[in-house]
Amino acid sequence: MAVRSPAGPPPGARGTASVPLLVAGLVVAAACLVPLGYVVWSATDQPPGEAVDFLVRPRIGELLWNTTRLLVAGTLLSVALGVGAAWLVERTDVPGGRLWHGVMCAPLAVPAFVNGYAWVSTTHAVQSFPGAVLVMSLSYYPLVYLPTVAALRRLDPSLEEVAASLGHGPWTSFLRIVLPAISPAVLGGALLVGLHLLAEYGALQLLNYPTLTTAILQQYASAFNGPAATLLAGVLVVFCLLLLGLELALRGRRRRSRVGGGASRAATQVQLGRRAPAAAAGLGVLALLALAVPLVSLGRWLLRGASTSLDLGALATAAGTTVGLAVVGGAIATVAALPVAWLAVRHRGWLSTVIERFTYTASAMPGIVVGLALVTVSIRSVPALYQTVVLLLLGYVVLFLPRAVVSVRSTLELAPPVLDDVARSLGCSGPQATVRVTLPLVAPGLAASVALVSLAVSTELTATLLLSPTGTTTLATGFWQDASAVAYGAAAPYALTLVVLSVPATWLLGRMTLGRSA
Amino acid sequence: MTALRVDGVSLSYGDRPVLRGVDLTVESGVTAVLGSSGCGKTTLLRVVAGFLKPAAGTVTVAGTAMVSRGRTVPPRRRGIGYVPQEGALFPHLDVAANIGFGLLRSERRGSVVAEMLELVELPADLAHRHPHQLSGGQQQRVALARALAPRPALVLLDEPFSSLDAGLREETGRAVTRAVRASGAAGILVTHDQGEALSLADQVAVMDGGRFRQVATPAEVYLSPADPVVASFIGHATLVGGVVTAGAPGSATSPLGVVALRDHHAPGAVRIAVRSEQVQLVSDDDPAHGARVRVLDVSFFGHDATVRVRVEETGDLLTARTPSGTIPEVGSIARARVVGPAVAFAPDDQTPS
Repeated sequence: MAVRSPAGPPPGARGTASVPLLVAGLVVAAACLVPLGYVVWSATDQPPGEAVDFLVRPRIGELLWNTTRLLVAGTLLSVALGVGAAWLVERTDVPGGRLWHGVMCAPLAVPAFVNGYAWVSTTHAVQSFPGAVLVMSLSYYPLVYLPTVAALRRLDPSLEEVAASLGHGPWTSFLRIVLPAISPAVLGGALLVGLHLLAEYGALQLLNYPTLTTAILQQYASAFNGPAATLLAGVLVVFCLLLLGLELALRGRRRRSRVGGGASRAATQVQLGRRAPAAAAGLGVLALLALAVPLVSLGRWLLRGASTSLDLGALATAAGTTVGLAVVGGAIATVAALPVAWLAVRHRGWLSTVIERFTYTASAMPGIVVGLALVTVSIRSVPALYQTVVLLLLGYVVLFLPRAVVSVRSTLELAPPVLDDVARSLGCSGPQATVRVTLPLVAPGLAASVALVSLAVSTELTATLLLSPTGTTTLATGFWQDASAVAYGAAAPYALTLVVLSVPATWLLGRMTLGRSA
Repeated sequence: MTALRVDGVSLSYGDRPVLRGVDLTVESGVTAVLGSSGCGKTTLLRVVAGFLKPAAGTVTVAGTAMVSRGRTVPPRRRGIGYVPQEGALFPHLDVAANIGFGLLRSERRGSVVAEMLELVELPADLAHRHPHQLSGGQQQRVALARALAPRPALVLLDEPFSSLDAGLREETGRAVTRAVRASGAAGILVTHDQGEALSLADQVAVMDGGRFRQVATPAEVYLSPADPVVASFIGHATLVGGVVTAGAPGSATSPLGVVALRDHHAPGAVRIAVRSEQVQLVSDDDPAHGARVRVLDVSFFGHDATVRVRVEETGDLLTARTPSGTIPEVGSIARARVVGPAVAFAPDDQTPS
């Protein structure tokens, strides 16, 4: 079996991929297909009559309505906040300038379920539809903000200069030139927000806002009702696929290419003039709601809880378990991403593309579906794996492999094959070229990949609740035990540790967006 | 010793032949492999370097067989310098470490790096800069220094100047070929720029459709092109029909009047390759001189101008290079004649594709 493009090697593509590389790629792709396969299989496995009876109940209609309106309103508000903040920070002379960039990224360091806990423990007013939309948007708007800042930064400033020369003011040129040009990035961010909203369990459970995802876990945990949970999971996956299809359809007709080369210049900034204080105040309010409220609330509960029940030993054990799982999970995901990314970068062809796409299907699978799939598959076919750390790690790898593939892929592109050619012409064997050229170039990127996946693992709640062996407590599950039992003070130390652990990844993402190497 | 000998090298991508039995001999000096994109020149370079394995043929470098009877020497054992497009310096290494990359550990500490920097005419204090701190031209020179440091008998340059802007390209081109000659290595310069090939190389190999059409000195390739394809590719000659009569084998009658030919031809039809600098435009007053032409457009360059005209009688399009003082008006009628001897080909000679 060999990967080869039909028209002969285009520049940069190289010969045939070796069989072990392809086998490794196929194994990784197959593992990523387990959740989707499980959903499809269980949908065909149910007696159709019972499934229809279950799905037409009014309770399910209510869940669908709740999920849909949260999805629409939360995504819209996140896009408005993210794009507005990105434009103010990147393209105007707002007082404070680039300092705002760090502040705007920072809410990413507060996991959504921690944010939900902070708000609920401050005011019960957020246990409503508007409250859920607000809290979720405050957690997820950075997912729109970051790609939008990156796109604004890459945008050729002469486009706006041309618009100005054709008589457009800043506002019309934003609407007619800038917004269409950055729309793929905004759409990509909106898709991420949508997928996160569909997958969110912890925050929405605390906000007492029932959606498909919270219902699945309730069915599973309280009634051990496998078929019902599986049916709902199927509906959830349909939601995710619809979202992916919608994004693809909206983006499909837009082609954004940059004409001409040359070094890009920094864009001239829009002068806000008298509106500057209002703009700064707007960013300030956003920062207050997204960052100050959770941190102050956390601090308050920390002070209040410290006197009563701080079990340092339990916290340290949970932190140790979390860091261990995170590092091992990050390393495995990065190693699994290597053959996939290597095939995609060095051996372009239909099979490489298929393998890469398969690994991305998991990014549309909520943690709860991945968890349910692995639980079901392991109980049915490999019972020895059920309730083991191996299964938990497998779940993390399937969930977060897309992040690893993206960073490993972009780092492999830093080491083009021509450098290998030069090294070989200077007397290096293949392995020597890898050690002397490729490895030094990709090592920082691999480290970043391990770090990104590790940090995602350390704050993952839903899949951990489903997959972790009995008696294994991570920071997220430890937090959850207390927070879901309204023991807010006891949960605070776990929440704080989670936030602290998330800071490095957030910093890394913020820096990467500004176009410096990670 | 012959630096490079390529015999009958063929290679296909899938069922598309890219090299069809290529022969090339390079004794010493710089040889330019000139051709339009897709003609197979970069593929040939990669075969010589060892990155591609030909389906047939032999490659011999400085007397050592690199490809013969199915046995190929891997690139790392060939001792051939390689300078890819845009230099491809190792981004994680500074200039000194880049230049020393192909040397033994013991040699890296010696004076080689300084010698190589001097050879490519770069200041010694660049040694500890990183590639991203260098200009495009400097990067190319460091890439050449890196390729020359292990003292190869042959160095391959793959369109090394195409990413540089016009002014820098000429200066860097001269410096690079000077350094190649000074190092004693033979150089192969792959390029699609005929000005670059003619001005920098000692030998020009014109490639088209996977084989060489002519391998000769720059002057010979320009003045005595081997066939109409070479003639129209190099110097953009226009091919005009003409007739040689029995009594006068050294000239031909054409719509542009009687044209002197560089070589004698048998009587009959010929095609004459007319270069723009041979076409002289005169005013319409003098019917004895040349053909009536209509001026289509003028490109003014300052030192001269290029005028495109259409021959009224035949509809042929011609390009004339005229001094900037005597430029006709667009749309006006002038007369065109050919000055000096031109190259002619038999009518069945291969037509330009």
